[in-house]
Amino acid sequence: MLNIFTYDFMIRAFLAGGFISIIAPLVGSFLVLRRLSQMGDTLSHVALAGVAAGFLIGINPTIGSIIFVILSSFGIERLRKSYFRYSEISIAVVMSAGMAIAVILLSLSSGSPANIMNYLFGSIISINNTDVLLSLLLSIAVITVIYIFYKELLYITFDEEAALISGIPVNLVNIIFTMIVAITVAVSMRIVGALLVSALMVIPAAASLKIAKNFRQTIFYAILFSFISVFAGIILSFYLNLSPGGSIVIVSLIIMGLASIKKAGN
Amino acid sequence: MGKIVELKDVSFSYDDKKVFNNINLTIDDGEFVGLIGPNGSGKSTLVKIMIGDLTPSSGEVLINGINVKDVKNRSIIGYVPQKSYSFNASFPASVKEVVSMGLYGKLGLFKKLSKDDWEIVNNALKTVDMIDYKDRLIGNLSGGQQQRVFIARALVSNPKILFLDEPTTGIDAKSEDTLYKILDTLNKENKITIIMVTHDVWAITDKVSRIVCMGNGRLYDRCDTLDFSKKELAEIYGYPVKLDMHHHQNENINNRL
Repeated sequence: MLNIFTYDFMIRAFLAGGFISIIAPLVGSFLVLRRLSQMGDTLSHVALAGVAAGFLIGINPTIGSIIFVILSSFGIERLRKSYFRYSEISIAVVMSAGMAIAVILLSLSSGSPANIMNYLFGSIISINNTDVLLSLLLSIAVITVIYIFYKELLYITFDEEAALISGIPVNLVNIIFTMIVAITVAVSMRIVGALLVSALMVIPAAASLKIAKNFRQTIFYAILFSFISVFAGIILSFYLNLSPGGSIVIVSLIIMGLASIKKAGN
Repeated sequence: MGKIVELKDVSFSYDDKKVFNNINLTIDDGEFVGLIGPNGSGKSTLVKIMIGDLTPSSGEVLINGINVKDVKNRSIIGYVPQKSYSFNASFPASVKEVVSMGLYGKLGLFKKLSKDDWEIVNNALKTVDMIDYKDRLIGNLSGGQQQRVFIARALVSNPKILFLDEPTTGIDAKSEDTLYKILDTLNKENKITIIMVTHDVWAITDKVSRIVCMGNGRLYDRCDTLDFSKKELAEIYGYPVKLDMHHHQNENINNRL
């Protein structure tokens, strides 16, 4: 059997995968509990537009996607406020806009179909040192922001109105949160792909909800499940020559199934 | 006893629809005020204006003589919302986590809860007799227990005024009784001014120190006094209110009306 760790690209995949396995469920847990599970999906579509723009103007596609996603996150926040009782409208509108722009830019750009497929479905072979460094720095940024605003994010997620009344700067925290969601999506799509990025944000959190007894445990289990999914998924994709994104998501679904069985057994 | 809440010519409209007009009200420190009125009369809206969550179309609200929007120390205002509106029952938070949220605004950004803060959380849970449930998930509690947890959440910031929006909705008679005992203690022993919105007008007549009614876009003060007639109450509710039908019927008000 081939030794997985003798390949530099696998080491890079494990490193970058390790970072996203922490930040995706960390951010995803808040999204799921705010009933915004689809937001990751929407932003990943917008991120594709950023990748296409990156190809078109010749900048790093991950940087392009971060810029696009951050800009669109402000659009979502604005629409969310304007359709307060139907906040999912904001997600649907921005997703359509992202996809439309992505399709137009891709048709104009010179990026090869293989490159675009890497971003759509994820790739471990194409991760370079810059990607690893970028995911490390951005993951540190995301973890630091959540650590700093943990209590505010928890209160807003639980009861936004009460948080506002108690004097928490809800608007500021919401904007910061939307930005870190944007960064998480852009970083994660490199490995799991734009089409599956929201799965890594949502499924480990959904599994965690089945067994957690408080909010801290919810976050802890979500990260644990995501970590197992990413590493098992990457190993499976290497030995069985499967898509890494698909393998990671299938493992996370199996964990979710097991968590549901455990819950049902209690 | 000083004025703790003052409403001066407060009006409010949703879009073009006027909810109420030129409301004036003064609440003194230490009072326990029941705010009653039919559905849609604007009780919850008025409370949200009093806590600074909504801005009135005209007029002003003063808390301790300061416009509510300029009150820097928000922790003096405690608020227990209508739980059905803002609370996600399946949220994976423990009771102590929920109660600790009441301290977050006071702590400010970048600060974490200290050992002393957790002691405050425990004390608030003891006050509402929920300390034995501190590690339970909030969603696994009964409606009455959840309401007591939300009161504890409001108490941790050591408020001077506590606003409650229909705290007895959806809870059984026994839990309701416990809740009123807790509120009575908070009012009489902890000297917290309480303003409570309720549908349950006859249940509160012997619990509160004063009843204020809303209806027809107006506010009627001192509905629990001899001056306030049965006819006026029927006018507010839009139908004659039968006092003898309620299990909590209060003889005093019954005789007066």
